[in-house]
Amino acid sequence: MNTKNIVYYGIFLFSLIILPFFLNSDWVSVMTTFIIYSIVSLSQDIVLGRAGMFDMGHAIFFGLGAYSTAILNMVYGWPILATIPIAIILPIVASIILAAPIIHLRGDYLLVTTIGFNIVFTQALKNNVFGITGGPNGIFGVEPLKILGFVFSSQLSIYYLAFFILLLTLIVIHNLETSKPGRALHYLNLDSLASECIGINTRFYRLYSFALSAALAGLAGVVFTLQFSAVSPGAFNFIQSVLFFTIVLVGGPSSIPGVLLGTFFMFVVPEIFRQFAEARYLVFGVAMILIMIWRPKGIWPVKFGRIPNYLTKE
Amino acid sequence: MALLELNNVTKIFGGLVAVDSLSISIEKGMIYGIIGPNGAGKTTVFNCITGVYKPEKGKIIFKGKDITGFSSHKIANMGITRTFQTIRLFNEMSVAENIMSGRHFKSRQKWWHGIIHTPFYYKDERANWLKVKEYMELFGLARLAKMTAGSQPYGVQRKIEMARALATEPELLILDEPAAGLNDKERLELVDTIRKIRDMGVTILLIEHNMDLVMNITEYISVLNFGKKIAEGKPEDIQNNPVVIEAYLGKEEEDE
Repeated sequence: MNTKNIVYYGIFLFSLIILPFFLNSDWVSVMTTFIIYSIVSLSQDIVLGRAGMFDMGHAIFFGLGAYSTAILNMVYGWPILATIPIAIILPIVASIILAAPIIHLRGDYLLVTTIGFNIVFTQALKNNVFGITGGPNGIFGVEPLKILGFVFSSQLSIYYLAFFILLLTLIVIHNLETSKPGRALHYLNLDSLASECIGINTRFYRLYSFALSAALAGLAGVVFTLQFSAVSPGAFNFIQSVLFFTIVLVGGPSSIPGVLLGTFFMFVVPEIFRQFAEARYLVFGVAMILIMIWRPKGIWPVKFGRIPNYLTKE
Repeated sequence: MALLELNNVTKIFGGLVAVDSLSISIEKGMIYGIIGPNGAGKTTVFNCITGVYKPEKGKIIFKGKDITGFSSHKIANMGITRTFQTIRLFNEMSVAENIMSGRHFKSRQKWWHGIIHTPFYYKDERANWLKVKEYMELFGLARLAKMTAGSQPYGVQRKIEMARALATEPELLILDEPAAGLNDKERLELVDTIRKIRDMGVTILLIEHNMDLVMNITEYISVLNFGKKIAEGKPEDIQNNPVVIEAYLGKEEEDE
């Protein structure tokens, strides 16, 4: 990371830290949602932006994380802290099982398949499978997280918890993009045949991207459950997946600032213009179309050339 | 023992026999050429060797091991890499990142290094980038390190692709029409580069249409026509072989 980036990220993270002191609790709640959806969008970007696979069922992994925590807590009485590993591992396992048979499919075919998975997933939740998902209304009254006697019940504490997970996500994604597995995702996205012919196991890395992004989405799901103390099928349906998909494309695939900006436009800006009621969505739709026409690589497109300084200096 | 051996390799597309029981044998350290008219099945041979296609019949043996039907990445990791007739670079990425892709298998980073950076990661990363630097210097690409690969001129792109293939430290380098689209100056440079690569201990197998280049650089040639080998031998023998001349120029009609 160069100095300019460090400054940008420093300013961004610092503003998130001090922001709650200037906002009322409604806005802190909006910002918490923004952070949760940022984590999901960043994780969607690993599959869609970096590995270039049209996954339009990302809400499945987000929902699996959220429901794992809610069910284990409400039905089986687990403390929230103990549910977190399951809320990460379950989406990983699910992503590998779902993706393994379809990973070789080309863009549009994969897209349709993942939409199918998402519809099956929400239907299962609505129909109260195994009698634990709570049906169409979902599950209410999930306990707050307790760590060493501290209870995360206030909006402010949940905000900082979400912030911490976002920070973790940013570190993971930074580590990814500067490592061999992260580069492999870009290579196989840009030219799958050439990648294979220089020795990249494209199948393995495609699954890897699914698993990693599912893990992060699952973790975001935990925070979602804690934020609303509730989960319901509507929060994880196909339309939500479309939203995450759109955020990545509009913001800028493989670009961290782009995805964050995209999430901001999709979740925070509509809140700011709440008074305009439904008209704001019209403006939104038009804005999305214009961005895709004028900036097909997103609002903040990715910049390649992430190479160490000693390569360019003598 | 030959480095690479093809035994009766046959590849059929629908009803078309693209490669017809082809047998060739490539010794270690040589520059081997495959020539033939358009549509003779040369690129199909390359695709069979590198695992892009699976041959219907026959065996491909590399260093005494049967690699027929192996996946492309496995074959690459065993020491066979290639370039493409139509250049296939990661166009949006920088020149250095393109060459770094060749270090993928040699880099010992595991999957978790994409999540957590350990001290080993830093050591491995540095070692591989320095290797990339070496290859960039070898091909005169060092000053272009940060530039986008796709916006480079054709000749430079060919070099990047070769540097990328070479960065995998292959034992056999397969070049699919390396001189296509190059001007005379670039072609001369290419001859030097290919010789330099051979002197590094890499065996080279190439397809080329440019006869001057093939005759100048290769040590042994096989000629394909309609998927069949019609001749083989040293360049000077091939040049005067009537069967080869006929395949390229057609048969002379005798006047009655």
